[in-house]
Amino acid sequence: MLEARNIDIDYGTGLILEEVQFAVRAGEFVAVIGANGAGKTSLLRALNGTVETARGEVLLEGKELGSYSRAQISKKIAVVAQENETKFPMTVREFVLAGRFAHGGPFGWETEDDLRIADRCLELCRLEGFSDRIMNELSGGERQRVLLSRAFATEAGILLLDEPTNNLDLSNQALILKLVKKRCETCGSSALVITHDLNLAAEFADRALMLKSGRIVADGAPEDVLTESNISKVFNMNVLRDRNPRSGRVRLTPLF
Amino acid sequence: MIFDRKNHLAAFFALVLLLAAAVSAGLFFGSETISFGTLNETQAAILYQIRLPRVLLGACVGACLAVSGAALQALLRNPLAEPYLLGVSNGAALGTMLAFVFFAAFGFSRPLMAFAGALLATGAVYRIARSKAGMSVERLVLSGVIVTTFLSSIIILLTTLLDATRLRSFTFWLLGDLSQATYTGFYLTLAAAVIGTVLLTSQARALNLMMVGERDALDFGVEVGKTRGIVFLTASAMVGLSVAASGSVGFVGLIVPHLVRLATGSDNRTVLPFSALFGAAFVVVADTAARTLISPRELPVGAITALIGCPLFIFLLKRN
Repeated sequence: MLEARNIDIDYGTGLILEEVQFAVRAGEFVAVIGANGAGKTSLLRALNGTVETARGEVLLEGKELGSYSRAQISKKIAVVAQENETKFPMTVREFVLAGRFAHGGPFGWETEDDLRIADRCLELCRLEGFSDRIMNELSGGERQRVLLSRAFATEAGILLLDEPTNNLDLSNQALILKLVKKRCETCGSSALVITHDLNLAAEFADRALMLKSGRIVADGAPEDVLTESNISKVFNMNVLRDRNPRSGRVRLTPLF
Repeated sequence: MIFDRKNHLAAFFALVLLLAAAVSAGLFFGSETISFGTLNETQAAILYQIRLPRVLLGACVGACLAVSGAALQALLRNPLAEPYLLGVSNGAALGTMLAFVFFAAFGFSRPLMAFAGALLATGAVYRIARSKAGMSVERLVLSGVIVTTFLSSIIILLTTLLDATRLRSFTFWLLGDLSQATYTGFYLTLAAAVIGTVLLTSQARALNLMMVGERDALDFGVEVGKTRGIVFLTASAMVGLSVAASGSVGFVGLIVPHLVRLATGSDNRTVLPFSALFGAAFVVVADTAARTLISPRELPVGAITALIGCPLFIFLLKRN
C-alpha cells in the first residue's frame, strides 16, 4: 500500500538517502533502525511527501504521491513527529481535532462525528477526561499519547512514527507501542516506527529495516536483522544476543 | 476560557453591541459635545462631515490591524508578531509616502503603493527571520526591528523633501492619525476589513494547525504554501490600506488578539472574527480618547495605542 521505489534524497550537501526501496504491507509493524543521521527521519518525511525526493518515487496505493493533495495524503498517512512545542494555549481536544482537518471544509466547526472520533481516540490512548486540559501543562508521556491520539483521529491506514518512545518512562514506552501494535492488529493499519531501542523493536515489530548512511543494509524479520554482525556494522558496538525467556524474542545487551 | 463553543453567538452579539456603543460614544464626544435632539448647522456639519467618517474609518482600521495581527501571529507561531512591530506598517508608510511625493496626481497610488510596501516588508522580515533551524520568537522580533529601522530611516530621508506645514501633518500621520478621514478612505478600508476578515477566516482551520508547526500542518493536510500566501497577501493589503488612510497605528494587532484569546481560547475561527469586531471598537475608543483628553488639541491615536501596547508587549515577552 505504501512503496518507496529507489528513492534518493539530497538536501544539497550530498545524498541523505540512496536507492531506498521497500514496500509496507497492510497490518505490518515495521521498526526503522539506524544510527543518528542515517536518514531515518528523512525517509519518513519522503514517505508522506513532506520532503522532496531527488530521484525515484513513492507510491501510495499504486499511485504516485505527487498526484494526491496534502489533504488526501493526510487521510491515508498519519504522522507522529518528534516533539513540537505549542506556543499558544491549546486544549487537548483542540489539538486532537487537528487530525480531522482534512475531513472538513474551510469554514465551519467539526461535526458531531469528528468530536466523537476525537474522544474515542483519546479514550483509546487512556486519556479519558483530558479533553479540556491545556497542552503545555501535560507530562511528557501524556503529551506523546495526545500526539498518538491525533494520528489515530485521522483514521489513516498508515502510521509514521518518529521516535515515539523518546524521553518516555518505561510504562509509557510500552503503552505507546502496544497501542500502535493493537491498531495494526485490529484495524489492519501499518506502522513505520523509528526507534533507537533495539529491544523494543525486537519485541513489537513484525519487520525491521536497518539504515546505514542513507542505504538499507538489512530488511526482514527482527531476529534476522538484529544480528551481532549487523549491529556492529551499523553502531560500532558489540552486543550480547540472547532471547527474552518470556516472549522468546531476541534480546540485546550492549557490551561496553 | 470564559466562553465555550455554545456561547460563541452570545460573545459575537456582545462584541457587536460593544462596537455600537463605541461608535456612538465616538460620535457624541469630542471638543464639541453633541447631544441628542436637534442639531444646529455647525453641529450637523461636525457630525456628518468630520466625526462620522473619522469614527467609521477608525473602526475599519482597527478591524484590519487586529485581524491581520491575529493571523500573522498564528502563521508565524509567535504571539508577539504585529504589523507595526514587524515593519509591515512602516513598509506601507514608506509606500504611501513615495506615492505622496512622486505620484500625488494619481488618486489610487497611495493605497496601491502602501499595499506593495507592506507586502515587501512582510516578505523581507519573513526571509530574514527564517533560518535552517526554523524561526525563533526572538529572531522574528529582531528582524522586525531591523526592517522597521531601515524603513524609518528612508522615511526620514524623504521627509526632508517636505515643507514645514506638510512635515507637521506628516509626522502626525506617521504616528497614526485619523483626523484626515474621508469617506473614500472609509469605503476602501471597509472593503479591506470585510473581504480581508472573510479571507483570513477561511484559513482559520489551517492556521489552527500552523500554530503548532509548519511540518505538523503539512502532515495533517494543510497546503502550507497556499495558506501562507493568502495570509501574507491579505494581511499586507489590510495593513496597507489602513496605513494609507490613517498612518501607522501601532500595537492594535498585539493588544486585541491577545485579549480575545484570553476570553475565548486560541481557535482562530473565533479569534479572527472576534478580533475584527473588538479591534474596531478598540480603535474607536482610543481615538475618542485621543480627541478628548487634551481637547481642544489632539493626540495621534497611535500614541494612545502604544501607551497601552508597550506594557503588554513587555508582559508577553517576560511570560514567554
